[in-house]
Amino acid sequence: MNTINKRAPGRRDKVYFNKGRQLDLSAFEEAKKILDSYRPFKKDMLIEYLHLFNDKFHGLYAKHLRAIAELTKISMSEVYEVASFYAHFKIIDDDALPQSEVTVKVCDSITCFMNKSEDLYSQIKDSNFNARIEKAPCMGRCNLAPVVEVNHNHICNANLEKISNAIKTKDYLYKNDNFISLEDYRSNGGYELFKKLQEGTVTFDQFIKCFSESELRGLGGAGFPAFKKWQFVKSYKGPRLMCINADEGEPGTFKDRFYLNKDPHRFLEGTLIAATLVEAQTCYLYIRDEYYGLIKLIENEIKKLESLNIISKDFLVIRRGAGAYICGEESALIESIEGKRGLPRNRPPYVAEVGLFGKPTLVHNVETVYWIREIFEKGGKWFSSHGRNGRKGLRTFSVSGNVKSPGIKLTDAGITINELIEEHCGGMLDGHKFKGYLPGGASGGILPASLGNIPLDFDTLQEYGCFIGSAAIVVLSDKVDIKSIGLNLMKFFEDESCGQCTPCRNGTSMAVKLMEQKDWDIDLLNKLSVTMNKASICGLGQAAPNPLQCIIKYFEEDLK
Amino acid sequence: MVKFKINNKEVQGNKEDTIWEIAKSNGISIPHLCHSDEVGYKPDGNCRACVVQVKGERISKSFY
Repeated sequence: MNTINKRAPGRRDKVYFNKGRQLDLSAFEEAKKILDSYRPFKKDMLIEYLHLFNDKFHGLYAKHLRAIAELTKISMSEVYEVASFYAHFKIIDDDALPQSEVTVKVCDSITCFMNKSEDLYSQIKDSNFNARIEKAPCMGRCNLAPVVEVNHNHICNANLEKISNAIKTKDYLYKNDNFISLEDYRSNGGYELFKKLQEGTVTFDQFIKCFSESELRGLGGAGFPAFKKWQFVKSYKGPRLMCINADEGEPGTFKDRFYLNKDPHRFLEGTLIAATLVEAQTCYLYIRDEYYGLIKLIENEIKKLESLNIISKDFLVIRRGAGAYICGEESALIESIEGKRGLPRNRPPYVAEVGLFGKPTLVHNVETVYWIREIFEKGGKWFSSHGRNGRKGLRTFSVSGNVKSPGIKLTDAGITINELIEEHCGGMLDGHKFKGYLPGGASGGILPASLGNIPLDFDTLQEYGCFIGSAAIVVLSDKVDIKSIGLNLMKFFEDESCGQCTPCRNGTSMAVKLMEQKDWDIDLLNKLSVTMNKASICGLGQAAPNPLQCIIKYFEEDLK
Repeated sequence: MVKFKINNKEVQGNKEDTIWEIAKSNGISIPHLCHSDEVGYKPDGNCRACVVQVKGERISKSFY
């Protein structure tokens, strides 16, 4: 508090002081320097601004938040509200506190948890690294669990030695795998289809016909037919916008990271085609902050496209997430791009009608647009000719857990888990017996081995109280304690609930308390599940009781 | 104008009104937390104390 050395008039010996948090002038100068190139300031860029400070000072100091508010003319409470919503922003209240340059984040989501990440966490805590040590949700490398992040560096199959090495050598960078370059992609006919669409040699109707034959559905989890989305969005009056959802937060899922890294231009061309189809003015790519290296990679490739005049400048805009699972929900993602907290919206209206900045918006998952070029070139029937057990199409499964070779498995939609384990994953680990599996990440529920012959696809799992979602398969063996798995998943939902609606905010934390007890109060948990499922605003709260319900239904033995 | 029944009582109200408002103007009180008549307490539909089942939809809607 700044006091002015002067007595106030009046009877009491009051000292003059200015109310509220005062502007720190040196922090203001710092902020000016950092944000200068971003003028004129825009409200929707708030999260990007916060990232600049968070990266530079390894945290958000209160004095800087105050300075940002002053500079951008966004109210202080709003800056604080947004900064405190996102897990990757570390707010430091005490301005005098020194920076901690290194942050070690230990993944505590399902597969890493099964691979003893808890023990690793306490080992790291005990070994006195000069670093901030935190637990964090899924980092999208579940086939190589446990995963630890040292700043941006993802350390797979982590152990103490690897972590201390990374800290010693200051190895903080995110490492991308090899990818198909722009030259290679273009020499293989890349961006031809996009050009044809722009020139009008292929038409909207041709695309609709092809994709209704292909039966390509939204691969982010909801499974809404892609061509119908295009028709809907186009039917509303423009200007229209588009968003790409690369906020892959579902524990166990890593397919989007895989595709973005492997062939970024196939993804970008698909994005451009979809944007052109609905005549979007701008397309925002919302990529999660955990994939820092990928953000840089995509940014670089977009610059190349701009310099070759394949796209106009600022047509593709990258927005960096900030560690909120809920922003994978399309309306929360839109809120986040608008620079606000990621709170899902009440529907209707749907985002196809009133989306980003109030405009009709097309939101696609990474994998959905990734398929566009290949399906159009090979024909819609090619895609739907795949599939087994009466289902159609191809599906990318992110397999992790107790199998010999986990990883990305591209195969027929409708494959059963037994077939998947035997044909693609080299069987169960030695000494492990197949006990159950998560068909769709944390929210998709848990199925027992006895239901190992259900075709895995959209619509086939509903009757069992599950859904395939993003096709993140976690295989559980008899060595796993099912109750602790359920608790881990519920804790994840408790952490990631945005806190907007009561059934989800209070329901998840109440469920955690009930599930921590030795004997579960099944009646109460059932009632709670119904309330959460029926009354929550978005999919997070609605799906949070799925694993719990499945355990009660299918794993009675384990509850005794 | 719309007419429908709440608790077997015939009620009516304007088309733009919410179910909650029509119920209130007809003397039926529905519990709620997220809003009030006072300025600055607009209904957000996030306390979920009042929800309706919409035919053909899987999930309930708030009927603020």
